Amino acid sequence: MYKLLIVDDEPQILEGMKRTLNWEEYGFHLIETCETREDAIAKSVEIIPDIAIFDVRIGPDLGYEIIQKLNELRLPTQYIIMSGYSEFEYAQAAIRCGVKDYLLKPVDRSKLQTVIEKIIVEDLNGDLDGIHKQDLNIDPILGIPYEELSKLTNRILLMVKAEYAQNITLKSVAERFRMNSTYLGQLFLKETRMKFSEYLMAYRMLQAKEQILTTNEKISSIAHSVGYPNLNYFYTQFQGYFGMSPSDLRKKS
Amino acid sequence: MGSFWQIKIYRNKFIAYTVFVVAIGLVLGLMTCAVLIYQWIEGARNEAVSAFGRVESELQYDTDRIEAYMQRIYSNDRLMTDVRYFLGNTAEGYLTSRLEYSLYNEPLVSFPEDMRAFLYSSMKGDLTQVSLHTENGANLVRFSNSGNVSFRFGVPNTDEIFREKLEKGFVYRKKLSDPNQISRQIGEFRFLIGSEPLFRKILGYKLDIAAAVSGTGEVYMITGMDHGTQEMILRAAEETRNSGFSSLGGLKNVFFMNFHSTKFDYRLIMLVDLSHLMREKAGILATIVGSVLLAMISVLMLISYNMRDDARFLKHIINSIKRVKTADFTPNSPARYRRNEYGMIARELDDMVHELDKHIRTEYLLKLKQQETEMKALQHQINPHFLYNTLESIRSTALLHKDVDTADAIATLGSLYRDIVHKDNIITIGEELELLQKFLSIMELKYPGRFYYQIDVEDPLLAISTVKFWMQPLAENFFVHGFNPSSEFNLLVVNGWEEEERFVLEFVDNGKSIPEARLEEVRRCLYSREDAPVRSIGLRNVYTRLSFFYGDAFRMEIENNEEAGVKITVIISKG
Repeated sequence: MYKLLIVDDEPQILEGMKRTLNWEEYGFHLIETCETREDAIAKSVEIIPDIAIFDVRIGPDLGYEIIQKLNELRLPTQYIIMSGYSEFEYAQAAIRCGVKDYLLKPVDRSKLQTVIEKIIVEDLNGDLDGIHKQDLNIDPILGIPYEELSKLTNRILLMVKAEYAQNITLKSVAERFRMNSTYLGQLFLKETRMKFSEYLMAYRMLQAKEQILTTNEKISSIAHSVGYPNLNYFYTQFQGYFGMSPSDLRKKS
Repeated sequence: MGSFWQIKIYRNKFIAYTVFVVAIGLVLGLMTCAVLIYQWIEGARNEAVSAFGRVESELQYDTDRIEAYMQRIYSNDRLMTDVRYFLGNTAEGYLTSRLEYSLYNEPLVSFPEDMRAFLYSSMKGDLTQVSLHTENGANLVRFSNSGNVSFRFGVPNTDEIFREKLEKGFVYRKKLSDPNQISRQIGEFRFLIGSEPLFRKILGYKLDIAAAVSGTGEVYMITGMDHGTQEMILRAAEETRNSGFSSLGGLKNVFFMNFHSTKFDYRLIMLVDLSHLMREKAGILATIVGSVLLAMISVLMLISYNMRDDARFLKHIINSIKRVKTADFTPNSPARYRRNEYGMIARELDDMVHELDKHIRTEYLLKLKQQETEMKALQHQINPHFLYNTLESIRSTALLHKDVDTADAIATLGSLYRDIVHKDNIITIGEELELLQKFLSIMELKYPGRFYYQIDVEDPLLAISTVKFWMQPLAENFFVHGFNPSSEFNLLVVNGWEEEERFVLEFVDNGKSIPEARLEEVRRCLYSREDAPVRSIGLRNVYTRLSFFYGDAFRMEIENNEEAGVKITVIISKG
């Protein structure tokens, strides 16, 4: 379990930093904050943090001077500095006392995340297994977390999920976006590596399978409810996709 | 000295001058030499003519003397008598006859003695032998160099001594007739005029090579035995001309002269050996060549001195232009300008540079500095640390309220602002796209659920350098003119790809289209390079800056999409 120390002279920012990342998820169970130089040194010696994040200015003191002091005490801590200044001298001084990274305020969440993950893997010999997993929302067809897809693709996927039972096509989607359908189809293909029509068919099949397995609805009404008014066509597609007929699937279960 | 050599027009000029001067020098030198040689040969010819004249006049004189002596014989009975005793007689016979018929009251006349006294002495030693012939033989009188007389009697006509040879001299024949009966020939005199004493008289003339050639081709060398050969004389004798230059069939280059005698069957041939002549006059020729060379060198020196002066000014002008081209306007006037057109141009150029510099300083640099100061003042008013710290505080507050989107947007805004202020003016397209992306993600927050964007640019484009901050104005254009707040599907797509000859960046939106008439106007304003006021200042500004940066390699197109919205295409040619 890791220990984290955050030093800044503004309490609001300390609170913000505590919430910027889901520290718990990364294994940080002890998070201490301090607002003065003396407090920071005392806390560091007391808890010996794995990672310490310093603002470049703590009241009248400079963050990297405190780090220098702590370095003399030979604490095994990895330091990160955050600063509103992007001036070269500060960054240079920070690098010189062995700081892992120099983050600019306001802090970019993804950058902080990258730095922390890097320190965990490289310096604390930890691993990132089990992180992201629990709350990750993965698309059942693509196998990609929604977060990693663009907002545009997410929006299109959302439209499919909402309207798959109706007569939705790439053309109708593109019309709503007032875009050339080929163009939009290419954007979709490039990001998902799947054609829009393939995705729609796969999603409909998935829904049909779900209903076949969980309800006693008639196959024809299921076909209709997932957007196949033509039953024969539904059968052909189903057979092609799963390698068995809908009734076989139901019997099997 | 060599300074003008680096300037092409002067180099060519100098080469032309050099060729011209050398040619003139050569022609002058050669002509002088030719005139001199001609004069020398003319001198030699005069000398030869007078030498030949001397020989001819000597011969004339000698024959005149012989004729006169013949008259004397005919007019003097006793002498005639003595001659007749001498004719065909033996020595004893002659002496006996003389004594037998001598008269006491008259002095004893002796033909040989008489001849010595009158003829030999008057011919100044030219006479070497006199013979009196009958049909079978002859009696002869010989005169030695010192004038002593010797006799030979009864020598046959075929004897070697009577062979006519140029080596011995010229034979002058006179018939001896019976004084009582003129038609009866009783004998023949042969007077031998010796070559040696005859030609010795012309040794005092300045002759290079001289020889007499008889009709039968015998050669008698007079002078020039030392370096000449009989061969040369014979070759010259074959020439049909009387005088001229000849190589004598490859032997030697000479000037030859051919004189035909009117008295005797011989020719006098005189040669001037040209190489010998050259050797003799080498000093004079060397002086001429030396002075021509000296003259050529001094003319060339004068020319190059003049050119160096001109070139210095031309160089000054070229350097001034070079400096101005690299935006170096520091004054660089020489202490003194030449008082000619070059000087005028140089001075005007320096004045121009000076004025330009002044203009730039007042109009441009000053204003720039002013703006810079204003910027600095503005920056100092808002302490960046204060600004970024405040943004961080606001971000933290948002997080406390569990508003992650706002927190992220604030972080993006801070970083966007920082990039705009701190990044260099020249960045890569990758960095510029990052700026755009930050801007668009803030816009996404501003219009949640109503605005989507997608950036899809191929890697090769990311490293291309570009000017900062031109994509955001294009995007802003969309938000100002094309954005439809009531639509759920506002979309902006940036595509970039590499083609064989060029890179293409495409900004496609699905907002309002531009009316065709307006589109024409926008295009016209964009491509005309005037500073006409355009409604979409942003587009115009972007176009101008990219044009400045990429030059002719850059092109921008604007058009309506078929479905909706506008497509702006930026094309950067490779190479």
